[in-house]
This record gives sequence, structure tokens and C-alpha cells, in this order.
Amino acid sequence: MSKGRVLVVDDIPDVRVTLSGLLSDEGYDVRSAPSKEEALRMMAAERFDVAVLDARLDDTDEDNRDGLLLMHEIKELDPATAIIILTGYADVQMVRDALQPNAQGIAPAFGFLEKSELDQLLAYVDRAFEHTMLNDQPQVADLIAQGESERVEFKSSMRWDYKRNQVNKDLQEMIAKSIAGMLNQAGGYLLIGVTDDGEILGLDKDLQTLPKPDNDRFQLVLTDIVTTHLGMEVVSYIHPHFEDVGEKCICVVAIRHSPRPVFLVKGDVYQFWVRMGNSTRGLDVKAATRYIQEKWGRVE
Amino acid sequence: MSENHRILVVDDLPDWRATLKGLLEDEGYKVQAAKSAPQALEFLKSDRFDLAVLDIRLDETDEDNTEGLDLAAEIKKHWPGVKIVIITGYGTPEIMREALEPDAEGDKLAANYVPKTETEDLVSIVRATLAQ
Repeated sequence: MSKGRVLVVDDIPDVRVTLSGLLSDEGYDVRSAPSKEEALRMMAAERFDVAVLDARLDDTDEDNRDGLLLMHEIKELDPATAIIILTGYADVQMVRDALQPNAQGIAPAFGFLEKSELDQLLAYVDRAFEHTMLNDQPQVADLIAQGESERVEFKSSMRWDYKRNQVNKDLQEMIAKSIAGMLNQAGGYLLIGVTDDGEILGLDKDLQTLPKPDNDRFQLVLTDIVTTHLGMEVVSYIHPHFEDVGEKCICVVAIRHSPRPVFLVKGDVYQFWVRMGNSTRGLDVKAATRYIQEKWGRVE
Repeated sequence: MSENHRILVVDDLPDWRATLKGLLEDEGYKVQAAKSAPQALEFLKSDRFDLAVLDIRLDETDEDNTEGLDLAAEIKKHWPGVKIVIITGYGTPEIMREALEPDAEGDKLAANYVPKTETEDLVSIVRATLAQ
């Protein structure tokens, strides 16, 4: 499984090949581009967790700073992408441009890697990757206080049926449906262990249904639900973690928007779900086709 | 409310201490100014602060002095709730990277950075940092 998606942008082919090789050996899914324009074209079609950008994207021009311009454009397109600026020498202006936080405290770039420090590339990308996941995360208390929306959904449980007071595996499919809806829309957060009205139930009931009542096992089941219903390839767009809210522990699933449509497989039937407002809706073939064309253009 | 926020200013130059203190007091902040790292630590031990504005070179006679960064690390360690804004007249890329790049744990030494040539931005940066 891919550790994450990395975009490498450098005008020099050898550098692209070297960096891409190092990162794919480490398990990253890597794409590379020679120019700002090509990189933006790729960004329009797919998303990346980390982007490694050469500051100067035209080696014949000392003053070229296309990489930094690209940094700002990527930040606009997908603020969650962590950016590493690659440079021969980081001057003061460059560092400020890249690292000075805005009023929200967010800096355009995660950091710099000077070309003399390339041996640290992997450690650095790992760190940037972790950082983007953590940094991207809003406060759970805020998510709960704001209530359900297009990007936030609450589920009381993953498989424990509170109404019938027993395990109900149909609920697992509801989880898959909610995740699919967000993958196909703008991404968002699924909070498991919270009722529709924001009451915190925690995961105790769900955990009791597992062979071993711990969070690791819970996460395994969740991953299994996702792969069974939505496919292996979407796993890298889903990042669950556990958080204590008061006395209770809930599961927060951070979901990225998917670069391609995601279908829910039920037996041999494919369904297409989309998060709209604060509910998840199933689209019929005609509506789904139109939605897919509008959102992703031609899909191979 | 700004009246409730307490700010510690650390600079070895008396003029700068007065200037920075004045700028922030005009905004309604309660400001205490220290001339050295040891004095800053004394203040931190006896008072609660929300934010510290730290000069990097705390000994004007020594060009390589970066005591402000060490002080920032010390504050982060013992008073993690105090937000840090670095201010300097002699920014180098290395210093700025040390202040603003996340470390292995993803923590940054400083929340923000203001060159002394742009102190007009200090107030807005302090305000934004306190609001985060």
C-alpha cells in the first residue's frame, strides 16, 4: 500500500529521476513534473500529500523562482499539501516567502531542503507527511460544536446497534456509504461515537463487539469495511485516529477528496454516493454520470 | 481582550526595549521588558505571560550571538503555553529556518518572525498569534 502521494517538481531530468526513485523505494507513490504549468495540470486531476519543489524551475535563469510561485498556487488549490522547497541556497527572502505564517498561523511551506542535505530527503518527506496529517486536523471539540455539515458527519457507532441493543453489521455499510459520500465530494471528517445531535457516546459498545476490545482492532475493522466496500486504493485517502473527548474516546476519520469517483460495492451492485449538505445521497445512473463528468471530467 | 494579555519583550538594547514595549502598550497589552535571557527567565518564573517577543542577538557586541533562540527553546520547554514571536535586525536564512521550520515532533520554535525593519507589522502579528 502506498505511504502517501508525493509530487516532485524539478526542471532537471536527472534530479527528478533520482528523487522519484528514492521516494518510491520508500513506498511513496511519486509523480514528477518539469515545470510549474505541468505541475498545476497534475494538481487539477489528483491530489498530493507532499510536494517537493525546486525553487528555481529554469536552470538557465538565476532569478527564476517559479517553484515559489508554484508553492503559493498549490497552497490555494489544496492547502493540505505539505510543501518542501528544494534549493541550492536558501536566502532570507526565500525563507520568509516560504515560512512566514499568515494571520491563521499557517506557513506556505513546511520547510526547506538544501541540495547539500539531500541525504535527509526521506526523513524530511516522512516528517512533512506526518505534519500535514496532524496540522490539517481541526479540533474535535470544534467539529462537534459546529454540528453536521457537508464536511462533517457523526455516527453513533460502527457496528453496535443502539436501538436493537445488538451487533448489526448493516451499520458497517452505512459507515462505508458515509465515507464514499465524502470521498466523492470535498472530503471531510466522520466522527464515530457521536450521535446526530452531537452527544458523545464513545466507542465502548463497538469495542465490546470485537474479539479484542481495543482501538487497534477497531481500526482494523474500519479498514476492512473500507477495502471491502470501496476498494484498496481508497485506503490512502482515509486517516482514522482516536481522540478523548471528556471521559469518552471517539474515532475521527479524516477523509480526503478522491481524485477519481469511488463506488460502493454491494454484492455485485455498484452504488454511487455523494455528501450533499448534511446528508449522504445515492445518485441514480443518470445523475451519477452527470456528477462524475462535472467533477472529474472524462474518466478512464 | 488585549487588556488581559501579558507580553514579555526581551531585547538587550534599551531603545528597542522601549520602542517595542510602547508599541504593544499602545494596543492595550500589559508588557514587561527584560534586557537579558536570565532576566527574562526571572520574569517568567514570577509572572504569567501569553506571548514573548524575543530579539535573537541578545549581546550586541557579539555578532554570532543567537541567545534569543536558546531562550525560545527554554521557554517552549518550561512554559509551553507562551507563544513566541522572534524579532531581529540580522536575520539569516539559518536563523529563520531554525525559528520557523517544524522539528521532528512537528513543533516550531517560534509562532512568527518580524524583521526589525518592519516593526509596523509587529502589532498585527502579535494580535494574530494570540488569536490562534
